[in-house]
This record gives sequence, C-alpha cells and structure tokens, in this order.
Amino acid sequence: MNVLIIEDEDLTAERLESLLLRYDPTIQVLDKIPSVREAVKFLQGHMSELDLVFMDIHLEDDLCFRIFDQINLQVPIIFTTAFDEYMIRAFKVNSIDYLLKPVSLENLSAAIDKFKSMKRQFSRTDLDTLLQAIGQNKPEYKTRFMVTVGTRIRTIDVAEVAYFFSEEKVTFMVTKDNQRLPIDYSLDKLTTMLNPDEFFRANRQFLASLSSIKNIHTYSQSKLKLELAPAPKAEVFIGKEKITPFKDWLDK
Amino acid sequence: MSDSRDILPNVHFQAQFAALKNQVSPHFLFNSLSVLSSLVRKDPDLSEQFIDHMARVYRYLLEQKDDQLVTLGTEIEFARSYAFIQEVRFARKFKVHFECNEAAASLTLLPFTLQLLIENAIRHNRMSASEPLTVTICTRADGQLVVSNNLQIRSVPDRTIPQGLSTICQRYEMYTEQVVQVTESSEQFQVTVPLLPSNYERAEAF
Repeated sequence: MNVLIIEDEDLTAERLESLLLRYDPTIQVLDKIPSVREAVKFLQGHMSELDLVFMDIHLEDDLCFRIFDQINLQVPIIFTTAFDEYMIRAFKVNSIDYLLKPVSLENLSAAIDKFKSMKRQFSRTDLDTLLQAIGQNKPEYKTRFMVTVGTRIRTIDVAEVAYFFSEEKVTFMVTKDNQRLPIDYSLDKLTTMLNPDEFFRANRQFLASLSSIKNIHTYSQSKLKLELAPAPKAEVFIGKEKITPFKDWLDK
Repeated sequence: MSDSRDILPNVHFQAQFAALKNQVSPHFLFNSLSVLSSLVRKDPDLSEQFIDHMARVYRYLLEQKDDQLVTLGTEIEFARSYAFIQEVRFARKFKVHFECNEAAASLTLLPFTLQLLIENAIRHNRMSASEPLTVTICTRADGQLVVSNNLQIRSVPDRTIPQGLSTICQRYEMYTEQVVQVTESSEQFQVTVPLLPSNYERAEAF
C-alpha cells in the first residue's frame, strides 16, 4: 500500500510514518509533505501511485482544503486534526474518516482497517458538503479596519466604508459620513482582502463599494464615469477594458 | 464606532479573559501532545525539557486568574516556554528572539500579551524551512514593548487559531489611555505595546 502524508509538523509526520510501519511494515510512505504548494506539485505527478492520503488541516502555507481547488484528488483521504470542535462535528456528520492527534496505533489501525473494508472514495460531493459544514467554501474577507487617529485607535466596519483611493502612494479610506482616513494597505492588497461582491476596483486609484455608487454615466464609447457618494475630489472613470467586468459585477 | 470603554463593564472584561484562556488550552494541548508522542522515543532529553515547558505554560494559565497586570519579567518567562514549544513543533521554520532590556523587567503589562502576539504571527503567516517565520520581542528606551515579525502573509488566516490581536487592543483600550499601535510594511508586521509602571492604577473612568 502506497501512502502520502501531508502534515506541517515534521515530528508528527515522522510519528505517523513509524506507526504506519508498525501496523504493516510493507506500507510505503512515498513522501511527507508540509505545504499546499508542494502537495499539489506531488499529486500532479504521482496521484495514480497512491492508495491513501493522510492529511492535516493546518499546513505551512494554507489550510489543506485549498489543495482541492487546484487538483481533482481521486484518492481516499483520512484527515488528521488536533482539536477543532467544528471540524470534528463536520467529519462525523458527513462520515468522513479522521484521526485525532496524538495519533495512537490503536486508532490508526482501526482507521486503516475501515478503509480496507470500505475502500470508500472521498468524492467531490463529500468535499463540498464538508466545506459547507465548516464554512471553508468561501474565503474569509476583512470585516473591519483598525485605524489610528492621533493617539487613538478606532475600528471602522467595512459596511461604513464608501470607497478607498490612493493619492501619491498613500491609501485613504473614505467613510460614508465622509471621513478620510489613511490606512496601511495598498489598493492591490485591499482588492484581495475585501469581498469582491461588495467592492470593485474601478481603476488604479479607486476601489469602490457598491453602495457608494450613486450614478453611472456613459462618458464616451470607451469610458464610464462614476458618481460616488461622498463625492471624491477627482473624477472616477472606468476604462474600456474594465467595462465588461464592471457590468457583470453590477448584474451579479 | 462605539466607545467600548463606556459600555463594557468589568464583568465583560472578566468573561472575555476566561474565554481567552479556554481558547488557548485545548488546541495547544493536543498539538503539544502530538509532538511529544513523537519526540519521546526520538529525543528523551528534549522531551523532558518539552514537558517542563508545557507544565510552566499551564501553570501560568491557571495562575493568571484576573485582569491583574504582570511584570514583563514574568510574562517573558512564560512566553519563552510557549515559544520553546512552538519552536520544537515547527522546528527550523519558526523562531522567537527575545531582546529585552533587563531594566524593563519590572514594568508591567496585561498577562498573555506576548503569547497572543506570537500566536497571531503564526495565525497570519506562512512558514517553511526555506522561509522561516521569525518573531522578535524587544523593549525600547521609551518604555514600549515591540513585537515584530517578517511578513509572509497566508492567503487565509488560520482560523483554527483564535483571533488575538483585536483582543489585545480591546483589553488595553479598557485598561489604559495608552494605545497599542499596529504598523505594517511590505516586509514587516509590528505591534507596539505600552509598558506600565508596576504601581499603575487602572484609570478611574473604567
């Protein structure tokens, strides 16, 4: 039996390997991999050689579920986790195999015996149900910002933000009640951190929330002009190449 | 924005503190045991040290019952044990440097501040043997504590680790006029925490 261990703690991976060999010395651990990036790379070349994958939830660069975004994994999986009530409940409800850390030989043996008798394939549907159950099917977007005004720290809810703009390499947040606050993130960074259903990158200088857009004018064949509230100092245009994505976004 | 100082009585503070302690324990405990179960055969001496540090961490968790300030010296001792465990767990990938001035050891701060900031760095950053995550804890001459790390931001924060930074900011906001400052550049994330004199009295308004 060929096995892959995906685990970011070297010691835990080694322990799992030694337990597997104690269970059955003929088991081949093809590799021990600590990150999503390396797991995807390995699986692209070796998926057909594998009989079973042990997969930790927390990996060096991301949660293991991101592996499934990049690869259609056709190998049975046994998840391993230390302690996570939600996760464990999700596993139980969806009868997905999992092992609790520290892994004991007894539990490991039971899990592999079960796998051998059922040869149950972890399907796309199982995965979707699992992701749904643990709220991992959508990325976590920023919900508020901490800003420092003088010596005081404040938090601003994302819902209070009208738009972000950059001016001479400084990024500003403009709230619906028209406060301008400098923040430490670039517009590029903000674009990835905020819910794309709510915010649209109009151009290099502006990232606008849906609710801040009061009017949209056709300015010329290749340009739209946005009227934002509160009114910014500069005019806001959407260039030719962004018109289609913008219309798609409005029509979501 | 609401002014949390006015609406959050002491009771809330205590409850939050209790929740904080519960969050840290189970996840940390089982991960540590998992590491230990491997270490125990491989390196008995290191296992012994590991157990010793685990005991220190849990003793501290039990001892800090209230929102009482602790001295930086005491908190650092705890943070060293906590860091030791994480460094063994993520060998070659994670490191904490302590560069604190002896003179600051008798100044005080809210308990678990350092541990939460170390944990926060793990929550938000990637780490690997080729790109380790390094946290540096140092004191400044003006009586501020600075905790910084190299930025290797994860695309999604690891939600198996509790959110710690906002907790720290809120706790300090309730405790003192002095602010916790968070600054971020493209390479570095830095949190500056005020150190308070050992006779510091929580401001009357609270």
